[in-house]
Amino acid sequence: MGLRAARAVWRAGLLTGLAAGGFLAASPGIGQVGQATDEDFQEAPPQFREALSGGRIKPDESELTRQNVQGVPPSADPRDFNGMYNFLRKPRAGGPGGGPGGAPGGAGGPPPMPRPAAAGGAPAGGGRQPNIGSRACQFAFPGLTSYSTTIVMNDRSVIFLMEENHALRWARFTDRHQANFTPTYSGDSIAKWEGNTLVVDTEGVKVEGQAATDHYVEKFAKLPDGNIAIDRFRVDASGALTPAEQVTLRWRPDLHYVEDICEDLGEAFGVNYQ
Amino acid sequence: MSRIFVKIWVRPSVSTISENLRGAAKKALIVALLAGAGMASAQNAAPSLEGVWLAQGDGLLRPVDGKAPPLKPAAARAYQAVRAKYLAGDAKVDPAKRCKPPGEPRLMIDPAVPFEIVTTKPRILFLYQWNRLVRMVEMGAPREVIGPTYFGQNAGSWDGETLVVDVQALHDSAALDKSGLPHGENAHLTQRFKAVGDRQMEVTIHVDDPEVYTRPWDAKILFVRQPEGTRIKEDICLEREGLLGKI
Repeated sequence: MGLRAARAVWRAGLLTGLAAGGFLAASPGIGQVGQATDEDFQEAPPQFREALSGGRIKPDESELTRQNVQGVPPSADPRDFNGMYNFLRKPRAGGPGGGPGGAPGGAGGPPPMPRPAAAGGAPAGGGRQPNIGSRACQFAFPGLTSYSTTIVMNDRSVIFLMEENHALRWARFTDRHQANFTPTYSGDSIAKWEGNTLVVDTEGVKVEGQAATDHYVEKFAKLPDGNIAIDRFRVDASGALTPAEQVTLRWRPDLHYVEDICEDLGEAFGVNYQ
Repeated sequence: MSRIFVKIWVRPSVSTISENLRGAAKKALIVALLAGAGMASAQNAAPSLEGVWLAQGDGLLRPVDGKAPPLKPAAARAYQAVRAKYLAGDAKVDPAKRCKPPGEPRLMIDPAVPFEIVTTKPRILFLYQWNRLVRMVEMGAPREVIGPTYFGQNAGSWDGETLVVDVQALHDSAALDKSGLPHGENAHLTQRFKAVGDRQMEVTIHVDDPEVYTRPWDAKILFVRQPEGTRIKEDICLEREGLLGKI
């Protein structure tokens, strides 16, 4: 099974879980992430395990191609984040240092997940009831928790290219936000270095169904093993930082960027444009 | 793999070369090399491809000789059957109106779609405003094809200051332009990107697709650099097209 197919199956498992109404609990591939080990994260949804080699989603030999251009090992430069990563969300209970993971949107948990379009009422956009695949595209602040995240950085900007839903974030090395910025899901990000810690300040983050916008500060530190530790904080109106989430981006030279088009999945699930 | 990058990116420095030289010949050569380095420096000062760009023209791909694309008869019939619907934005015919990636080179040559080029040593990104799509060009020899994908497999190299991108494995629902100009399963495109002065970029597109065209052909598109500070905005196609939850 190829990596692309495996990811499609993984996503299909997630969508099946959504359809069952259980969301996180019904989708092991996602639901266990909050307390996951490396091995757990790659566990395939149970209904698809037999279709996968050893029940695990991982690239096979043929997919270890020259696209892994970041090389092994990672750059020794603590300010060079260029490369490809996947993630591990650190369990925590409201502050740095661990503890059980909070629920999405709750104390110590990750930012809230967007509500599926069909959950609890009329479908977004009105009209007929959406099918499973129509909820494949989730729009919220991209928390760098994708199948893979590619970081491309130069002296002008840092780009976070997330494979899942082809989400994209862009932080510019500048000292001021855009004036009159219209809120977006990814917000307006500016970056600076504090020593070897990359600090990204993102404001104007649109939240579906809310008038208020979110404001985050994220601190990225490269670890000796090439992984990147991220501390994400919410910023309130007074400017105070509240710890929101810790994520580790794990150096993954075995991954390569795969085109992931969530807009395809509605039709893949059998509902065509009418 | 690392050998490829060394070949592409590591240029011999004057100091490195000088270690292997002796005497007067060494001095003479150093002088010559310094002159060469000056020329190389001048070349390096050539306009960068980095920046936000917008295509000129009408978004249609045409041969440079001004004639119609040399479609084979069957392909021409199929193209004529959909061309008007593509141009009219018929969502039942054009997958891009259902928010599927338009593919390449269609997206790049659309004069309504700004994109930013970001260059790094191992990869070059084309960041499109249209539905925040990204085309990733990996620098190095074309690898084993994994596809098809909407943007195809993109392998890049530098020919002097010209970026050469080898494109294969294009998705069958991605047309070459907004009129639905077709391509075959084994289409092979070679795109050459060259800055022209500080404000323009010229891209030649060589289409080699014997399944669909009677002969290889070339198109040329001019792009204009957008003013400094121009940002690529977040565009969510499903929201823009009112399709959230519908497809």
